[in-house]
Amino acid sequence: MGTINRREFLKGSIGAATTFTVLSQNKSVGAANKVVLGIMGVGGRGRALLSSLVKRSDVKIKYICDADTRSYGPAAEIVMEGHDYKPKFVQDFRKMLDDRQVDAVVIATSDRWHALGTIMACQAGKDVYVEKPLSLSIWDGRKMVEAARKYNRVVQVGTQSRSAPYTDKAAEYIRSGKLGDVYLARVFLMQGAGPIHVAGVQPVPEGLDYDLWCGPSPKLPYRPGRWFWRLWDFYVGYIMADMTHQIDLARYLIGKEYPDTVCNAGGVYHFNDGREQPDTQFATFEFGELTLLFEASLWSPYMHRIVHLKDKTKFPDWPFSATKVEICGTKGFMCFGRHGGGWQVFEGDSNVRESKAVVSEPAGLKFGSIIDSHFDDFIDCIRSRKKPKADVEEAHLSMVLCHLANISYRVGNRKLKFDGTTEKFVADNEANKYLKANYRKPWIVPEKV
Amino acid sequence: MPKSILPLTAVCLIWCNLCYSQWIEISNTKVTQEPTELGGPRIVIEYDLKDAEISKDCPAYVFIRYSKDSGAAWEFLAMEYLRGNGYGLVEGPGHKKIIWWGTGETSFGGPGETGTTRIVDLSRLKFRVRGIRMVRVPAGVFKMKSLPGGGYDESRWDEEPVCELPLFYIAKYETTVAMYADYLNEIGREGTGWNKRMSNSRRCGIVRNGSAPDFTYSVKPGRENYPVTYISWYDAAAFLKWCGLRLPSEAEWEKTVRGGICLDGDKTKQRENPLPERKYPWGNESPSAGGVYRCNCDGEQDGFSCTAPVGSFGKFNSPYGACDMAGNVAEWTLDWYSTSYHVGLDGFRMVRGGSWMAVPFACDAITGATQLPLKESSIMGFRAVRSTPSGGCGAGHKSP
Repeated sequence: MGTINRREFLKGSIGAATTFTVLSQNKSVGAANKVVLGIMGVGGRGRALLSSLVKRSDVKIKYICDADTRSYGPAAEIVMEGHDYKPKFVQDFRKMLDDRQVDAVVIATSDRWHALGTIMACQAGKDVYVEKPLSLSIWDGRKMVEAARKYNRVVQVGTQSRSAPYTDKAAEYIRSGKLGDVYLARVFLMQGAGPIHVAGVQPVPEGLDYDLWCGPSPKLPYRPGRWFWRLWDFYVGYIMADMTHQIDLARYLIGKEYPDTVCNAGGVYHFNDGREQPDTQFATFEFGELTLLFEASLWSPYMHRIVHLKDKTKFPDWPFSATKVEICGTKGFMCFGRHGGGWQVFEGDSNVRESKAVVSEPAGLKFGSIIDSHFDDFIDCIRSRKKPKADVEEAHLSMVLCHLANISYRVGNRKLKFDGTTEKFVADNEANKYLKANYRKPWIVPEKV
Repeated sequence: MPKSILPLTAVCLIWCNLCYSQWIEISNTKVTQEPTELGGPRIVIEYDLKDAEISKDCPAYVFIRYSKDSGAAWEFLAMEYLRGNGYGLVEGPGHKKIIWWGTGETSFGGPGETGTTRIVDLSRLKFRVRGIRMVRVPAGVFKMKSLPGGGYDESRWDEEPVCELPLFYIAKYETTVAMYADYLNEIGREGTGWNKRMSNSRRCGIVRNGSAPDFTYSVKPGRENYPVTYISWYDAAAFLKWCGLRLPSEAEWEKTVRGGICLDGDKTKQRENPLPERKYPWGNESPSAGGVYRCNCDGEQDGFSCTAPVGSFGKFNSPYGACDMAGNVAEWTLDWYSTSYHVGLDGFRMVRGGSWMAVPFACDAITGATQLPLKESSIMGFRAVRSTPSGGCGAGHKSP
C-alpha cells in the first residue's frame, strides 16, 4: 500500500470503500501541537470562519482552497493579519487532503460539496468542520455519518447555537419537567428576502475551475451570481438552508429524533424568479404525542432576525422575532432565540388572565463569541476524540426534517409516513425517489463510504 | 475711498503641502485681505502650481481648509463662496488666485464696529491649500461587465451591460499614507480615523503619538507614497468628505479601467477606444504575460511583497491615465451589495481592482469582492472621485 500514489488513490476512492487512509493518517494531535487546518471554500462564509479561526493560537491554517482562484486574496489576507503568514492556496481540495500534516478541514463551500467533501476528508483521515445545511438529501447525510463513524473522525457541523451556554440551560429546564409535559414546539423562519436574479450565459472567468465548482451538481452553462440557489440540484432552498438552525435547536430542546409523519403546506407564492423551492412553507411533524410546527416565509419584512440585538442582556421582541423557537408545555411556555437571543419562560395566572415571565436567561454574549465557542468545542474534540456538541449525526437528524418538508412539498404537499429506522417513507415510491440527490460523475456520493 | 475702509493688506499663516507626498505640489502660497467698497472685505489666496502635467485631461483638484482659531479647529471652505482660477478642478499650471468673499464679522462671529467694515484678525486665521491629481473621464457610454457573485451587481443582470455616465474626475493615484496622515493630524486629536494596525510598517505605516485629546500622527520614513490601508469604508468616506470628494461608484470605477466606447466622450467621438471590453487597464494581456509585470499582485516577482508606492506601474495605466487600477490595493466603492438574506446588517460594500495578495485574474476590470463596511484590511484602500455639477453622483447606470 505504501507505494500507492495518495492522490491517485483518493481519485479512485470516489465511490469505493476504503480503509487505507486512516491507517496512514490517524495521528493524534497533542495538546502542545497546533491543529493544522485546511479551509475548503473561502467565499463569504469561509472568510467569516477564517476570521474566527485566526483568533486562535492553537491552530495553523496551512491551506486555503477554492475552485475560484479569485477568492484567494481576501482569504489569505485574513490569515496574514491574524497569524502573520501566508497560507498555501490550492484550487483542488484533493491536494489538501493529500497532505499528511493536515489534521482537519473546514468545509465552507456551497451546499453541493458538503457531503462528498466530508466523506472524502474522512477517508483521508481528516477531522471535519462542515457548514450547514449539511446535505442535499437524506441519503447524503446518512453517508456522512457513516464515513465519520467508519474512519473514527470528528465531524462537527456549523449549527453553532448548540455551543451557546444558554442553550444547555434551556434544555435542562425542559428536561427537568419545569415546563410540564411538552406537546407542541414551533420553529420560525419568517423574514423578508429578495428575488434571485439570473444573469445571461457568459464565458467562464479566467481562474475559475467551473467543473470543480459545480462538483456533484449538474454542469449547467456558466452564469455569474447565485442563480443556482433556485435549483434543487444545487440547494435545499433559501428557507431550509437557514431553518436547519432553528430545527436543530428545537430538536435539541425537545430531545426527539425522527418524526412519524410530515405534512407540508405552502409553495412559491411570492417570488416569480423561477425558483424551484418554496418561498412559503408551513410544515407539521408528528413525534408521537408531540407536534412540531414550522412556519417559514420570505415575504415578512416585519419579522426581525435577533442577531441585531444591541444589548445582550435583553430579549428579542418575541412576536417579531424571525428565528425563534417556542416550546409549549402544560406548565409553561418557552421562547428561545437563536443568534444569542437567550430564552424566557412564561407562565399564566388564570385568575387574572395574565401571563408573565418567570424565568429569564439572557444570552449575555455576542453571536460572534458563539462561533468562537463552537470552534473551541471542535478543537477540543480533535484532541480528545469525543463527539462534538454539533456532531454530524445530530445535524443529520435535524436536516432530515428539512428534507422531509421539502419532499412533502415536491409530492404535492401530501402527508407522508416516515420510518426512521430505515430513513425511508412508508410504502411511498414517489416520495422515496427524493431521498437521494442527483450526482454528476465522477463526484458521486458512494454507496459504501 | 471711504475712510472707514483701510487699504490693509496682511499675510496670514498658511500651510505648505510640499512635505506630504501625493498632494500636488503647491508653492508660494500667500494670503492677503483686501477691503472693497461694496462687498465688504475679501481674502485673496494666491499660490503657484508649477506641475507641467496639470492639464484639462489631468487636472488638479484643489481644496482649501481654514481655521479661524489659530488651528484649533478646521473647516472645509465651501467652494460656492469662492471665485478665481485656483480652486476645484484646476486645468493648467501657473499662478493661481482665489477670492473668498464675505470674510467680515458675520463669517467669523467677532464683534464688529458699528458703521465700519471690520477687517478679520488675520493673525488667528490659517489656511491649508491642498491638491489632488485627477484624471478626466468624459461623459459617454462604456461597456460595463461587472457581474454578480464576485463584484457583481445582481440587481442589474437583465440589462444590456452598456452604461452611460456623465463627466466625472477620478484620482490618478490611490490615496496615500502621507495624505491620510495629514488628514489625521487635522481631525484625529481624539483618535478618530486611526486604528493600531495602521502602524504596521510593512503594510501601512502611520504611527499615533501622544495621548488624547492631543494625538498626533507620523509616517514611518519611506512609507509616505504607499497607498493607505486598514481603512474602513467609513474612514474612506470621511476622508473624502473632508476633501469635498467621494468614493467612485462601481460603474465609475469600471469605466476608468476600460474607457468609454469613445475615449474623448460621446460629445466629440474623435477617439475610438480600441479595446472597450479590455480585461485590464492596459489591455487584455495578463498581468505577467511575457515576463512583464504590469501591476502589483500576489507574489514577489513584480518587485513587491506587499503594497507598492502608488504609480509604480506607470506604463500600465488605464486609458485615462489612472494608475494602479489593477492590483496594489483593492478599492472601496460607493455601491452596496444587497442580496444577503441577513437583512438589517449594515450592508456589504463592493471592493474592486484586486490587490497585492490577489491572483492575477482577480486584478481585472470586473472581479470584485463584498466586504462589510467596517472591515479594515491591508489589501484595501481607496481613491477619490469628483463629479461635475451636472453629473451628480453618477453611481447608477442606465441602459442605452
